[in-house]
Amino acid sequence: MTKRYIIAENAVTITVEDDLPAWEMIEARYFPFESDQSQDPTLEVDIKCSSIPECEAEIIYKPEPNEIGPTIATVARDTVGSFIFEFTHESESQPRLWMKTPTDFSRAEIILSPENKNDDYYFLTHALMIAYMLATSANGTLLIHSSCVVYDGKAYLFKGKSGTGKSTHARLWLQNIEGTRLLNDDNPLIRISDDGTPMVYGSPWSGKTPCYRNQSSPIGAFVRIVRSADNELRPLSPLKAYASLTASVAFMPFVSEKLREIRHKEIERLVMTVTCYEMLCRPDADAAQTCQAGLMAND
Amino acid sequence: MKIKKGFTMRSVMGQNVVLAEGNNADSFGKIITLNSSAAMLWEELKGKSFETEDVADLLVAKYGIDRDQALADAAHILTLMTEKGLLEM
Repeated sequence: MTKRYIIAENAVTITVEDDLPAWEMIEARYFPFESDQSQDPTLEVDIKCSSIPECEAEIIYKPEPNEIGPTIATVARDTVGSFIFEFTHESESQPRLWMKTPTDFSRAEIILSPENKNDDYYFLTHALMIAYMLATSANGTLLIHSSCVVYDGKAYLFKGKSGTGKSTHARLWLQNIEGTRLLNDDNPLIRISDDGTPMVYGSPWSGKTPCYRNQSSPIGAFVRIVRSADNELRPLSPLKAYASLTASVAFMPFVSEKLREIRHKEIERLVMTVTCYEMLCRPDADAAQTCQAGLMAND
Repeated sequence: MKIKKGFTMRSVMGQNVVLAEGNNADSFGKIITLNSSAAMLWEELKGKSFETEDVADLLVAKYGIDRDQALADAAHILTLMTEKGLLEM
């Protein structure tokens, strides 16, 4: 079964073997993005279940110990230069998921191990997000780790290290600032439109919060969340803004210099058009109110 | 010593800066501005093993300063880079 999706204006086709439990677990996240437009796909995905292939490939990337989450992906290149990803659970030795993409990342062949474990969907979600991120990097699409709310027609993206309270701050806006809605809680997408307007889009990847909205909004500001005893919003200098954004925009260390350059240029354009702030905050209602008041005053 | 892996020098908003590209939590959001001589050294030294003397040689070759001055400057720059966590031994 093949379905077509438009995610942040990039067409994606996903072909899945029938009755694949891992896909059935997450398919609903993709429903809002289904489309019957005939736009050429930026990414074609094929998902199957079979034994994980053995192939000759040289490992080019292993995660650093401090990057290890529940999924560990090693990246290798085979003899024709295709990238091979293996996703392994941190407490297991055999990979759960194998993914192969050609050098231009236009396709992703995904194979799930036949053991069919309950949390396979987690690995599939992660693999699809990486495949999408790589396939769309050439046209300047950025995947940004952040929680994103929309207020008064503009999107505000809360970024920061894991565990600093991005989602908490977004929730405080939803609870305390009338008219706020959540666009995405973990991995929204950014594209700068043809007329130069930085736009953020919802995605099928939203962390633990089921918020998969096929909507977009012009970006009002980026706000880096920093825990503090007092609530205070401060603008960041352009260089600090660049550093803060570059730390939040997904990046694969093995991609070509050309793709790194595209990412760098897009981030630079964002810094030149969108104000970036640092929000020192407590996890309370006043934090959301102080942040909102500060953003509106500088708008 | 060597420049640590994972740091890239780029021109950002017209300035030479070093930043960590990737998901290294320790260097999250870290950005270091380099002056033109530090940028020259970075370009020459990246990917190589080097000692203070090598850095001094580069300074002598590039700026024509005397060797004692170059050694002192090299030691100073390397101390700063070590403090910023950019070097590994």
